[in-house]
Amino acid sequence: MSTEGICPRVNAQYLKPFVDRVVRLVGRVTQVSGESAVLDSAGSVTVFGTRDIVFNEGEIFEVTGRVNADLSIKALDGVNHGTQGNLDNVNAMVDIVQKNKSFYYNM
Amino acid sequence: MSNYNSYGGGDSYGGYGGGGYGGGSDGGGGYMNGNSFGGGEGNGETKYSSQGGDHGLPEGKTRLRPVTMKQILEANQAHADAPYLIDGVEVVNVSAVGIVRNVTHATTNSTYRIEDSTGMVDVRKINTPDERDAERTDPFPQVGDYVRILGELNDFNDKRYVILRHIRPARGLDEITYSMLEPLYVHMQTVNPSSLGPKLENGGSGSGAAAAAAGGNSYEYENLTPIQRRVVETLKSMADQDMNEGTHVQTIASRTNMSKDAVASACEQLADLGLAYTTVDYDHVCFLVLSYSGKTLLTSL
Repeated sequence: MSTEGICPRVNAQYLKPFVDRVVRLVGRVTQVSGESAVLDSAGSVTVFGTRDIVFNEGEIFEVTGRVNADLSIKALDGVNHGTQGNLDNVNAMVDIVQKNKSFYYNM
Repeated sequence: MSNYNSYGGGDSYGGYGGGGYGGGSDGGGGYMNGNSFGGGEGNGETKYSSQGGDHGLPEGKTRLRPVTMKQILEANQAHADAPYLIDGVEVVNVSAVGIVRNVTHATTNSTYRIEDSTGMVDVRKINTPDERDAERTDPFPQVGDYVRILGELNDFNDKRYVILRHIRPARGLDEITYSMLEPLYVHMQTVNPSSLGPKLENGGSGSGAAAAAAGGNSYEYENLTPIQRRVVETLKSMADQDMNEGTHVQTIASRTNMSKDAVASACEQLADLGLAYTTVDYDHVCFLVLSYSGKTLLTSL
């Protein structure tokens, strides 16, 4: 099966094994500077955005991007989920996804 | 196609297939009412009579299974015309959530490439003649939209598609989170129900409790209502004793602590489904067991 569209769901706790790979991460923006931002996703993650992604403090973003060696993320795409949504549930879901990787991902 | 639209308004797909899955749906015990997918008490006949007899087990067509894109891509067939199988279970209709990555419009169809982090699937909408012009300016769905889709598995030129029946915007982050977990839950339920342990039995919904009460393999009976299921269980347990005569409706009623009328109407429905038949008179009912490849085959289940 093609690997197109496969980008494992992670949060700050699961970044290490995914250096140089594309992942998907959901977090609340805690800090914005220019095109980059810090997201709280079960821990802080620095995300380098693109011109198309406008981070606003307090909003929940879903970022698809490549993990750098320093565990920051170079975003390829971002979805703004607004301020509503339960991030505890997202992180619980990420835990479950990571524990059942073979069900979700061909990697 | 209009009967699919009724899904758009509710979250009752959470009750996948009805009994056995316990929680998840607050929409009425998991049965989806009032449409051709429904397994409700009133419309069992239409549901089963529309199945045709090609495949042994028609349940796949009456069931809506929540899946990941990976499961859609990996669903397999024994041969080109055989039903799709996921976890060894027939699947026709699927429900999934993903983000639209590409939209292409052709004269007769629109194709949406949708991805949910587990894989990319082409979802094809067949355009009706009067949609063909309007469709090109359709503001939804667009690239970047998170959507909930309902559709049928299909292959074309050796490529897996979903034929789109219904599409709507996903309802925020929480539905996206949920949409990742629901397929795993149904997968576990299918391949290893015991792994879900007490959660299943104490799931809180009426059908869940009834499925547990029915004992053993609740998956077999998931298309039945709780009352029908209890009657089937009773009939099965009585089958050895009343080989030929069947069991009297009154006996079932007293064994299950249900009213005679309720049992009688459940028996009638089971007879319509081909699961039971009356014997010496209309009050004696027998459970129909067919043997197939050395294992018991429950017709219509």
